[in-house]
Amino acid sequence: MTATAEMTNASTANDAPSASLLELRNVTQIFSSGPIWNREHNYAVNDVSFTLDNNPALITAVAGESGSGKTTLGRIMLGFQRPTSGQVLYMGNDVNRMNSGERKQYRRQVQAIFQDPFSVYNPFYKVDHIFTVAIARFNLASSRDEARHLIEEAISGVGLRPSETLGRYPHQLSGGQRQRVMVARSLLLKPQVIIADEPVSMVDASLRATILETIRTLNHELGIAILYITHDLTTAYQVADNILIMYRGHVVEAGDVEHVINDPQHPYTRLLVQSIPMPDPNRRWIDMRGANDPPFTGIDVTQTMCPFVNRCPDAIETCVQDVPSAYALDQTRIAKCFLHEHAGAVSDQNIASFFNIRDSSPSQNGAS
Amino acid sequence: MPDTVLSIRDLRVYFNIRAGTVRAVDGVDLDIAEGEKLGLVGESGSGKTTTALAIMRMIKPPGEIAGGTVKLDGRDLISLSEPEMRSVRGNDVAMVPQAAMNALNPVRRIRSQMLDGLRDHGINESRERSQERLNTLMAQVGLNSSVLNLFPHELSGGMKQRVTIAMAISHKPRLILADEPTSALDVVVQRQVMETLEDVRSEIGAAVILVGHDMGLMAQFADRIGVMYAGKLVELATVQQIFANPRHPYTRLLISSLPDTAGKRRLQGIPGLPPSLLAVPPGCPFMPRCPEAMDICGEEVPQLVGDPDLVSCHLHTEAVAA
Repeated sequence: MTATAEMTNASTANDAPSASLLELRNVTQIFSSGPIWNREHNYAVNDVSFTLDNNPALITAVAGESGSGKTTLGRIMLGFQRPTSGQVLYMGNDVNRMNSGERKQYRRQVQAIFQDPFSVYNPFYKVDHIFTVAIARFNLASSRDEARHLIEEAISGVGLRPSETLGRYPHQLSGGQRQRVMVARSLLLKPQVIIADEPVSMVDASLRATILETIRTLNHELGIAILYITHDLTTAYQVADNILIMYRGHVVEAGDVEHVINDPQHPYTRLLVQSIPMPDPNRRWIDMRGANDPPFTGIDVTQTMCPFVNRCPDAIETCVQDVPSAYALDQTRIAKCFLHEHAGAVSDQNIASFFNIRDSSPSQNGAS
Repeated sequence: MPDTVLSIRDLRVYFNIRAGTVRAVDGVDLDIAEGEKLGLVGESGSGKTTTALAIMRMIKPPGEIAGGTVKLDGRDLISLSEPEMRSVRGNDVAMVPQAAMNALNPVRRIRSQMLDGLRDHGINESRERSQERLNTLMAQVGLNSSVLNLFPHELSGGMKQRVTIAMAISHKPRLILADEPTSALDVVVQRQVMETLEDVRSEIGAAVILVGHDMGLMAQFADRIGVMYAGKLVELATVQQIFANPRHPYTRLLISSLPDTAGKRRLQGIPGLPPSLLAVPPGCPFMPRCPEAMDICGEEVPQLVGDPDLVSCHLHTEAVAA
């Protein structure tokens, strides 16, 4: 806790007084491939600005299909990837220019939960290993007993029984248990931010609910800000307060999750929502198929067009001539689509300024 | 009443390992009508994939088909010789695998892999004729025929899965087994692949068994749903019936654990874990996790009863008899 306070002081000294917890400023990530005379530039993240704050701590979902840049965005926020341009700021300090002490602090405060609960473990070590390494690395405990106590506390915190979990090898646990152990590892470090990249996509449907509920509890009760990266809009809806919809590196729609999912305004979000396999045999995809191909099917999409133009059923001539900017539909929503040009471009590029702030009353999760 | 394509009786698949006998599929009865789409759902280890593999006779040691019959158009597949079974696979029953990337050979073009499938089943024809056949297959699954010239790594996940669907339908099988065909794909592509599967299925009039754990996908695709738990079918009913009035507590929990977008609520998982198949407790296998368990559940295995919708649960024995 003292360390956190120091960090806050340090950052106020050399930056604006209200430095946010974790901020992206105009971040762009370009992956280049191909021979140098015919280089292809792929914008995995295209000029994204937003903030994760813990005052109050919110759950923000990032959704989109494979290749939309959602995982790259998460990796940039974790400091695994230095963006091509733009800045990542933790407490006002540029993550890619930190000294080792600051970096260690940042590494502790910003934790990750990954998709695959199998490959994150070393099969030769018992699961205890991932806890003891973290404790040693960050000097969390002064004795063996204290360490044991911390580990058990973290494991109980995610709804597992320490006696049934510790001392076992990863293959002796189920996929759901392994994923919850990863959540427990994050919890042990008492971080300010957790970045969870598809934490439930490889887990059985019946266990998903339990893991998501655990993540929600971490947010509501411990005030940890969470970035939930997923391709599944239904879990995003259930867990998150706000959502960013990404398509080819662009944030095409963002805002309050209730509005974005139940009243989508960008044609891509609409397509995503219509593709959710609804558990209702009377509302089938097959009965809702569109008859015609989109107007610009097959067009070669360049950097000077709307990225979605070739798949958009509502595309107009403007969409192949220019890239839409983000338009503010109302106080809690933006959409990057010319259909909403009349709404006026946003003045503040930071998407988080359009987020809906949840009532900070802590126990909202019991409401039904 | 359409004819029955597949009729499974008392199918048992056991894995004999050092620790004992794992009863992965333990007495499954199932009838599938011509052109029917049956969804087979359950958690990992419930026996759904093993059931599908047993129909194809593709159970590998230490597993074995320990008993029962699998009749395809009246012919028992279990008693066929291996060469006879080889000609059934692909021709009469075809499989769309879970991980399309592992099902395709990475160092050969799509064309030669598809030609293999044709030749292997006795289709030897002129190059022009087989080219025409491949073009038709690609068009059926919504792919451009130029895809035939590509290697698997040049295709997206959805395209690869369409290629495996094209391979599966190349002999116009009576029955297609699709084992979580879209679990590696994201939602938009998932929808496209499932629509493709439905289109080709209705074109050739095949029956489909869709194996998976996503009840949402089942609601979108299946006519009837079979719910498996610990190697047994615990409920079998029309998709309307399953979603409007699930009778087995396990089915009910599977449906209520699905997240939806109609208002935020507390997400409910299914507490506990499935029993070890080495030593299934006496009585109903779901009893330890069942919120409605009674005394009798620990003593007696409930029978799968009802007509036409089946359920095996002590809560429903009277209702069915009445």
